[in-house]
Amino acid sequence: MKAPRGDDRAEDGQAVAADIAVERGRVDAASEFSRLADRYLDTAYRLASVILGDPTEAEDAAHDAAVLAWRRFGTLRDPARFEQWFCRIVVNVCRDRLRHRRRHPVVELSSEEDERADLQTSDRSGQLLARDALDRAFVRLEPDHQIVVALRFYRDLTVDEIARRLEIPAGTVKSRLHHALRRLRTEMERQGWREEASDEA
Amino acid sequence: MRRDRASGEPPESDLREWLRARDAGPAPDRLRMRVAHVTRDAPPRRSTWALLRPVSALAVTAAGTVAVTVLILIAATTRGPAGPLAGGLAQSAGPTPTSSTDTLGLMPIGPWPRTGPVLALPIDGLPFALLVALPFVAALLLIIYLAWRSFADAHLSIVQEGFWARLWQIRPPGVWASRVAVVLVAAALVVVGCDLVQFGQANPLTYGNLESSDAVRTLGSRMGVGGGETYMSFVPGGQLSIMLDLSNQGELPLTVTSFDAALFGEQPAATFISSVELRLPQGATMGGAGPDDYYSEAFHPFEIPPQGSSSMLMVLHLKDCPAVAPGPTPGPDPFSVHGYLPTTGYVTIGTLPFRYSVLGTERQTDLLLNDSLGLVFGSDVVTC
Repeated sequence: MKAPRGDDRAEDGQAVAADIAVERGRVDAASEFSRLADRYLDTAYRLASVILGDPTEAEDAAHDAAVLAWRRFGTLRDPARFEQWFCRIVVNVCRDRLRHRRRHPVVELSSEEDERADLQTSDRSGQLLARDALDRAFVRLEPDHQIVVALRFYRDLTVDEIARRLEIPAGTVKSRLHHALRRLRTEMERQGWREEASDEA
Repeated sequence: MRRDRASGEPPESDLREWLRARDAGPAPDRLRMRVAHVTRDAPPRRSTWALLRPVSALAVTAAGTVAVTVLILIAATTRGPAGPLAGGLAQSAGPTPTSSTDTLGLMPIGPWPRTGPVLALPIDGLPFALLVALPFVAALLLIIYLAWRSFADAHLSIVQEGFWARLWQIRPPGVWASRVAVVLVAAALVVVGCDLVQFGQANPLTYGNLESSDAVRTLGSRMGVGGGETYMSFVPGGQLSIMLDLSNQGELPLTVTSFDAALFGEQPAATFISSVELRLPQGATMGGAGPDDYYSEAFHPFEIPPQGSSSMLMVLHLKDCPAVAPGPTPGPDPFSVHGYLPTTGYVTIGTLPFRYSVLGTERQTDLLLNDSLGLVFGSDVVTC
């Protein structure tokens, strides 16, 4: 077996040092990411649950967002903006999931007429009736509209803040909000919800 | 739940309440454990695509610029030597017709009237320069807009995502198609701008020949380096008639709209001329006894067809200047005198200012006479 020469030993030493530096950098990044992700995981999960309306799916969405965020963690130049950056990834994951839902709708066993009749004849309170109507109307919104409504009325972000987070013009946010609210009303009325009925209740 | 009375939409408070009801609360421990394992999956890396994306944006912009340049070169190389007036805007990308010099000069006069439409926009001079600059500025703004959007997309892609495919997801294919259309529109604007430059530089209205001059007043002619000169005797209060020929060397019909008397008045010879009268040939009297019979129609805007020409009679009404002595008396056969040299004072008329319209655009030109006209006086020093 040939003994290693001095040059070879030096090269090996440099390679090991480089590996250590890379590994150290990776460990530092991992710990930094874990710290930040853990800090904002609640926020991300709750936002996902509001957008998706399903805790189980929200859990998967938050996990997927964390995976994506970790893969792209190197592109985040300012850790102070992690919350906004992570929120944007969560929103994008939720949007993909909502679009997937639209392409692969789940067929409910009860028909729309049955639901309407159920709403009108059930003995549930008017508040619950209206919430059901809002729930169904929200599902029928475009994914982008659902996201804007959630950010505006759940996270209480201003139009400008939403625009910055989604990287879209403020005018687009306003437009989406306007159309979303109109669509909500239309859908709720289409489902038989009436202001008088709920007021009486 | 109430409805907003003013807008008819669900009130914000109800929406907030309903959305908070969907809030699933803090993240479950199960999720925290899953996320804790995320960092073991793959090390973070700076996306190569993220670094290359600005380069790709530059490449898109450069490709657009190259496309515009190629289109300009195609348009330039296929353009006729006389510009769009020799080829037309539509023919800029096709073979250029060969202009025939045989058709210049005197031509048989076609049937009258040949009055073209007088839709003349007075946009010569600075307004015309602005009109020429407009397509270039518009093209430049479009390219800047394209570059700006490309960089915005690159930035958006870097900030938001890590996949190359996301660039296509951020902007749907329709947007990319519209960008191609923007490049084509910019190229078309540049081509139109080049055509307008050529249009501004081309002067299709030219002077043909001095067809004839008043035999009673003509003294003779002389050939010079820059062209010939015909001399006519000045008679105070009299008039001189010359028949001249205007040609259209372009491929578009032009309409001669007016004789620019104001510009003509700036010439030294105008001191001795009280008015200029233009007459056009009248078809009904063709073959009449003399010029006055033939050119009996008063001047009005008239059209000269492409590569065509038209003659007219110009009558100069001379001022009655008491201090100016009448010019010499013509000889018996003045048209055979080709080396006439005035021995007394004289002034020459070298240019005739006309206004004409092409494609509704009114232009002004000073026609340089091949055979300038000399008014010969009876003395050396003349003032009127």
